[in-house]
Amino acid sequence: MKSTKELADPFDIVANALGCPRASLSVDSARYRDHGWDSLGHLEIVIALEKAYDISIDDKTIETYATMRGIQQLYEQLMRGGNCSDS
Amino acid sequence: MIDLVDAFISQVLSHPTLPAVEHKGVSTSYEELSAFAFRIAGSIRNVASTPSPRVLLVLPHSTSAYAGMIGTLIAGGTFCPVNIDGPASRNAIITSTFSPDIILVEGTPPSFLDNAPATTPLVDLSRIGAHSLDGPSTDYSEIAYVAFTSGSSGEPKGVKIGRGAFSHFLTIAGSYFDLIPGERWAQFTDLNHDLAVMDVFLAVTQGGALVPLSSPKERLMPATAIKECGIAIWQSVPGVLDLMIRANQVSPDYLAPLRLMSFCGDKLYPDHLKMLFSARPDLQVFNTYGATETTGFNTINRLTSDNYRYSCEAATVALGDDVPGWTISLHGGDSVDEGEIVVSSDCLGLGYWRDEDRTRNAFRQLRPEGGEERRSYFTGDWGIRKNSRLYFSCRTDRQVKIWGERIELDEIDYLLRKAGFADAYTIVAEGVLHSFVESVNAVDQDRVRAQLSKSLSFHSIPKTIQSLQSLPRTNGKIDRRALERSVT
Repeated sequence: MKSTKELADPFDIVANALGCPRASLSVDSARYRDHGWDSLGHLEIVIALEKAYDISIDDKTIETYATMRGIQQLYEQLMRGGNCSDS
Repeated sequence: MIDLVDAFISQVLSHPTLPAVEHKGVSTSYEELSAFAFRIAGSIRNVASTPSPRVLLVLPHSTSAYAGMIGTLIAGGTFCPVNIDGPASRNAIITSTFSPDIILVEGTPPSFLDNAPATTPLVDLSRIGAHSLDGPSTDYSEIAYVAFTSGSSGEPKGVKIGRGAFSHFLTIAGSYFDLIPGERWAQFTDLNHDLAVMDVFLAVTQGGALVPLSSPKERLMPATAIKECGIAIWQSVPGVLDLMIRANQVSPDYLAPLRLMSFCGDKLYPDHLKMLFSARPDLQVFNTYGATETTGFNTINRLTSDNYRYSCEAATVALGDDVPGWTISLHGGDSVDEGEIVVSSDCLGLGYWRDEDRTRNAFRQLRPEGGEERRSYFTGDWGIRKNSRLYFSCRTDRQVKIWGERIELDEIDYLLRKAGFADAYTIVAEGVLHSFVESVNAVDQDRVRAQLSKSLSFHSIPKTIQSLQSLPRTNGKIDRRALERSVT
């Protein structure tokens, strides 16, 4: 796992993956709610999270990280030194 | 022509113990699927008050959904599959428009059925009775199923697919796939689409094993499912390839089990083929063309790594040759090599559900040069021929496809007007939907999009909704180019 100092900001990760302005995202952003966050957009996000946070891609993570709130919680947990599999 | 129920039963008799469905580690043999379908047919007949009942299938991607389709036809009825994960308002409209005699569910019914008449029986397939029909009903509806698609009047429109025509299609199309009994056939497409119904019946009338892909990972990374489930046959819209490409899974390792991929419903690009054949030079790929209204696909281009380059002389891959029983012609162009694609056949859809006016307008008699008058469907697709090969060019109307899903822009505009705007017009710019509404105030886009999401699927919701004091017009017509320039 990467050290907490290296962890990228989750809003930056999602904005980069979707190719949208960071300001257009909020904690309420979610798949099939925000434009661009469709299946392909979600795949981009999950792949980016896998790379940035070392998450595994499985049924659980695909659904848990389908909301900005879920991704934010993952980030906070990792910043506290927790393991993403605890979420 | 063999009726599709007889074709299924023939497979049951030939390969009773072969798997018909493999789902989440559970295998259902042809014998077991048949027994389940006949029990469903028995339940339908028990509660049906008409000889040809209308059966709404409110079921997930599963053995139950496939047995529900087959069971309805065994009972002599007409089925209408809905996408249980689709917008609730849309599903409620489909339920009301189809006005089913029976609704098949599994477990707790979804909320969109709350307003269905209390007198409509709900049959829970997880607790189905033991009563089974002795044999298929010989007195059956001429309509096999009804598929609802986007409608320009603001409400989804149902297309009636004839049982005889669909049976004919399955016999012809089945011969192209040349399925080896037991081969695994991925069932990826949402059940409300005609492509999903084609998956089900092409597989079970040829001895294939359907593999419903329903888990989040299978939906998001379908090549993982190809590898892990040993999928031999894949059929879907071409957009799914983009998921595989992005996941870096168009590789020999992931695609090893595949024998054949068949695409329909949207544009297949030369780059798609290049990648596929680079990963798997021995793969067969079909590019097919058809509309829901024309029953299955009506052209087929059988592509290999040796021949595909000849079909790539335009922006998209050539559509191929006519499937026997369907004739493609081009009308209204400046030369014989371009025009609106018209499909003529005795096997077209039977028309629109309870909409005779729309049916008369869309299905017309056409007399080809030197030929006999035939029932014909004007697709609204513009085609061109290059070196005698047919290519899709563009639409002639306001229907667009995003991720293979048919979207009538008029439906979006209708719903925006219904939301309170004096007028509305939606355009597509670089594959993205943008709506313009007449309003003196700025639009609360999140609120309006949330409102639209109750009736429209995600892909039909515009990215931007801009307010204008009035929509730009030239000679009374909307100035689309001016709107395109206004996209922010």
